[in-house]
Amino acid sequence: MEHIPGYVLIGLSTGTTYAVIGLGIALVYQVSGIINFAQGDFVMLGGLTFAFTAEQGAHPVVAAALALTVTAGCGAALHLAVLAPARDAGHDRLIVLTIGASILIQGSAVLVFGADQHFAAPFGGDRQFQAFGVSISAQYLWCAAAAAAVAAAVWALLSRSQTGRAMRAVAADRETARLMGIAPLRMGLIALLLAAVLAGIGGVVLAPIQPPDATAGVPLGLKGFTAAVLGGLTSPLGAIAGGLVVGVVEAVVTGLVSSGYRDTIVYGLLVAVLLVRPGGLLIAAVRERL
Amino acid sequence: MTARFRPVAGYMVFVAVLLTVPAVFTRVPFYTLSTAVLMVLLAIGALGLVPLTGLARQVSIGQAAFYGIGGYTSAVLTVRYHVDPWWGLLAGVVLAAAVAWSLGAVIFRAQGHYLSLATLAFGLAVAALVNELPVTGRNAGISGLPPLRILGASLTTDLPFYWLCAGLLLVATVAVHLLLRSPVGSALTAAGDSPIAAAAAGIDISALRRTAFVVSAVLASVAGSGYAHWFRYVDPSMLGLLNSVQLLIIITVGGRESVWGAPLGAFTVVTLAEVVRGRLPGSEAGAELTAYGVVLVLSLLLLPRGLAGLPAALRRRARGAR
Amino acid sequence: MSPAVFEVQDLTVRFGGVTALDGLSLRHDSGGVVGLIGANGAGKTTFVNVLSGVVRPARGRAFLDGRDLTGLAAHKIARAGLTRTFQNLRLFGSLTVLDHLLVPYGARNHGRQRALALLAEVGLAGTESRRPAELAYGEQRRLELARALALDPRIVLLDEPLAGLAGSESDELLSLFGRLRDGGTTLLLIEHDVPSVLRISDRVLVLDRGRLLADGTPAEVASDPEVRQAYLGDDDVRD
Repeated sequence: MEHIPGYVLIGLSTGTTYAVIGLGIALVYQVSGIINFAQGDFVMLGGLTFAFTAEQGAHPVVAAALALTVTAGCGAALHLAVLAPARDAGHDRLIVLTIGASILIQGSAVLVFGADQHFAAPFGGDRQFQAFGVSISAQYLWCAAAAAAVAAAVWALLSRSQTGRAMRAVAADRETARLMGIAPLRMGLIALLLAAVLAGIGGVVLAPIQPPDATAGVPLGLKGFTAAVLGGLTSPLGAIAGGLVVGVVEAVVTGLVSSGYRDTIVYGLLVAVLLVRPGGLLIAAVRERL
Repeated sequence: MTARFRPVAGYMVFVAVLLTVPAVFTRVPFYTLSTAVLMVLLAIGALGLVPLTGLARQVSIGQAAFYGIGGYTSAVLTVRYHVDPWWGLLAGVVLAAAVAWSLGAVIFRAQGHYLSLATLAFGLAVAALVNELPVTGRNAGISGLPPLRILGASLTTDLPFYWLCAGLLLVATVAVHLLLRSPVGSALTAAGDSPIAAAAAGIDISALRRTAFVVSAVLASVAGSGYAHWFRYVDPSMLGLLNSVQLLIIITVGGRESVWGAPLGAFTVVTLAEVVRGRLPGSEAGAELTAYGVVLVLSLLLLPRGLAGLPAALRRRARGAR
Repeated sequence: MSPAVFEVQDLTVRFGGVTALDGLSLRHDSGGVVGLIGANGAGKTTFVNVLSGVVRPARGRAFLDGRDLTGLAAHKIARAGLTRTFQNLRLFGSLTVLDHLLVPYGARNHGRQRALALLAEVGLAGTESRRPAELAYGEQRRLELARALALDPRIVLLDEPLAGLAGSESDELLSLFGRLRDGGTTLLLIEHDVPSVLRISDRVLVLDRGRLLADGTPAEVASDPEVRQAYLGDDDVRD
C-alpha cells in the first residue's frame, strides 16, 4: 500500500500519452462523428518513423519533423482519399473504413520498417529521477510537457481562433453550420490532420520509452479510446483527464495485482465504462467548459 | 427468371459449388482441401454478421472472442473433462449466446455506435484473459482435442471434415436466409435504415440488435469449435484482433446484405491471403495486412454491396443504359 | 373527470444552455385536429420529439388517455397509441412500400390485408413492391403517414406533413386528415402553412420560445392581437 503514490506517479506519466491519443479521438469524433480506429496507428507511425530515421543517424529534430510530416500526410490522405469520398455512407461503413485504414497503415509499416522494434535514445540522455520510492525515466517529463503543450494548443485553437469556432459550430449542429457557410468536410479534414499530428507527437516522445513496432498502435489506440470515452467521447478536455485515469488504473493494477492481468483489466475498464455510463464518467464536470 | 425463383437457383448453384470444391481444390495450384475447410469455417463465422452488420448496421470488432469461446469451450470440456465433442460444441454455443445476450442487454440500451468500441475492448479483454488463466493453458493453449465423430466414424482427415463443414454452412445459410426473410429481417433492415423511425413504428430496436448479436455470436462459436476439432489444438492467437477484422473484411468484400456474401467473401479473402503470401516483398504479415486493408477500403468505396451485390448493380446499370 | 386524450404537465427540455420547452402544460379532451404553429425554434419539433420518446424531458410528464408516457422507450409509446411522422422524411430505404407497413404489423394475422387496405386508403395502391426512392415526393409523404397509422394510434403527431407538396397534393392530404378525424383519430398538426392549419383545425396552439402564446379556436387565435403581432403579422410570417 505504501507504494501507491509511486504507482500513481508512474500512471500519470504513462497517462499523458493516452491523454494525447484520446484528445485526437475526441476531436475527430466531435467534429465529424467518426470513431477513428486508425488513431493508435498514427502514434505507431510517428514513433516508428522517428526511431527508424534516428537509427539511420538523422538528428532527432530532423527525425521528429519527418515523423510529424509523415503522420500529417497520412491523416490528410485518410480523410481525402478514404473518408471524404464515403461521406454519404452510413456511420457503420465509416467505422469499417477506418479499420481498413488501420490495418493498411500497419501492413505498410511492416513492409517499410520491418516487423521488428526500433529504438530511439531518450531526449537529453538516459536519466532517471526518484520520487515516492519509484524510479522514473526523465523522458516522461517530455511526455508530460508534450501533453500539456498540445492540450493548451488545442484549447487555444478551439476557443480563440475562427477555425476553432467553426469546428465547434460543426460539432454542435452540422446543418446549421453548413447554412452559415462553414464546410463540415473541411473542418473534418482539419480535425483529422490535427489528430494525426497529435498522435505523431505522442509517438515521438513515447518512442524512447516504449520502442515501437508495427503492432504498437492497437493497444495505444485502445487506451486512447478508453480515455476519450471516460471523458464523454466529444470532450477534448475530458479525454485528457480520461487518459490520466487510464494510466493510473493501469499502473496501480500492474503494481498491486499482476502485470499479466493488466490488459484484461484496462480493456475490461473500457467495456465497463461503456456499459455503465456510455455518456462518459467525467463529462458533467467539463461539458460546460468546452 | 423471376425474383421469386432466384433464391432456389442460388441454392442450386451453391450446393453444386460446395459439391465440386473437393475435386477442384485438389487439382489447382495453391488451393488444398485445408484451404477449403478454412474458407467454409470462416464463411460460417462471417454469416452471423449479415443480420448484425449488413441489416442492423451494427459493427462488431470482437467476433474472435466468440470464435475463441467456442474453440476453448470445446477444448476445455473435451480434453480436461472428456466430454463428447458435440456436447462441447453445444456448450460453446450456449456460453457464447449467454455472453452476447448479457453484453447486448446493456450495450444496446445506449444509442450511438458504441458496439464497435465495446466489442473491440471485450474481444481484447477476453484474449488477454485466456492468455493468463491456468484453465485455458495460458499462452501454450490446449492441445490434444479429439476429432468430431459422426455415426461412430472419426473425422480425422480433411475430406470428411470438409463435407461436415459444408453441410453446417448450408444449414446455417438457410437458417440466416429464413431469418432475413422473416418479419424480424424486415425489422432489422428498418432499424438499420433509420433507428428513430423504426422505434416510432413500434420496433424495440435494442432487443432486435441484441438478437442479431446473439446470432452472430452463435455462428462464430460454431466456427470456433469446428476449427478447434479440426486443428486439434487451440491457443490465444484464435482470439487475435485480426481474426475479428478478417470476418468483417469477408462480409464487407462478399456483400453484407446477402447470405451469399459470407461464402463469396471467405473465398476471396482466403485466396487473397494465399496469393500475397510470399509474393510481395517484405514479411508475410505486412503483405497480408496491406492487402486486407486495400481490399477492405476499395470494396467499401467502389462496391458498397460487395460481390454479392454485383449482379444487381450490373442489372441496374443495364436497365439504366437502355 | 375522464382522462384527457393527451395531457402534458410542466414539460421542460433543455439543450445545453438553450431551453427548447419551458414548463409547457396543456390538455386535450376530445378528438379532432389540433394545429400547432410557431416560428422556427419555438419548440414545435421538440414537443413532438418529447411526446414520441426521442428526447427525454428535463422535467414534466406526458400522458396519453391517462397513461403516463414519461420515460417510456419510443417503441412502447408508439405501441401505446401515439405515433408520428418526421419533418425530414425518414423512410426505410431498403424496404418495399408494403414492408414499411408489415414492420409495425409484424407477424400479426391479416397484417398483409390490413397493410394493403391502408395503402389504398392513403392513395398508394399499386406501389406495394416499390422502394421509397422510386416514389414521387408526395407519395413518400403519404407512406410516412401510412406507417404512422399502421399501429391504429389514438393520436398521430404530424410534423409538417404538407412541406414541399404542390397545392393539389396538399389538398388531398388535408381531406385525408379530415377523414381520419371523422374516424376518431386525434391529429396534432404542425405546419408552416398557417392558412391550412386555421382552415382544418378544431383547436390551434401557438408556441413561442418554448411557451404557449395562445390557445383557442382558429377564429380566436387568428384574431388574437399578440399572435398577430408576434407571428401572423403581414410581413412577418417567418419561415
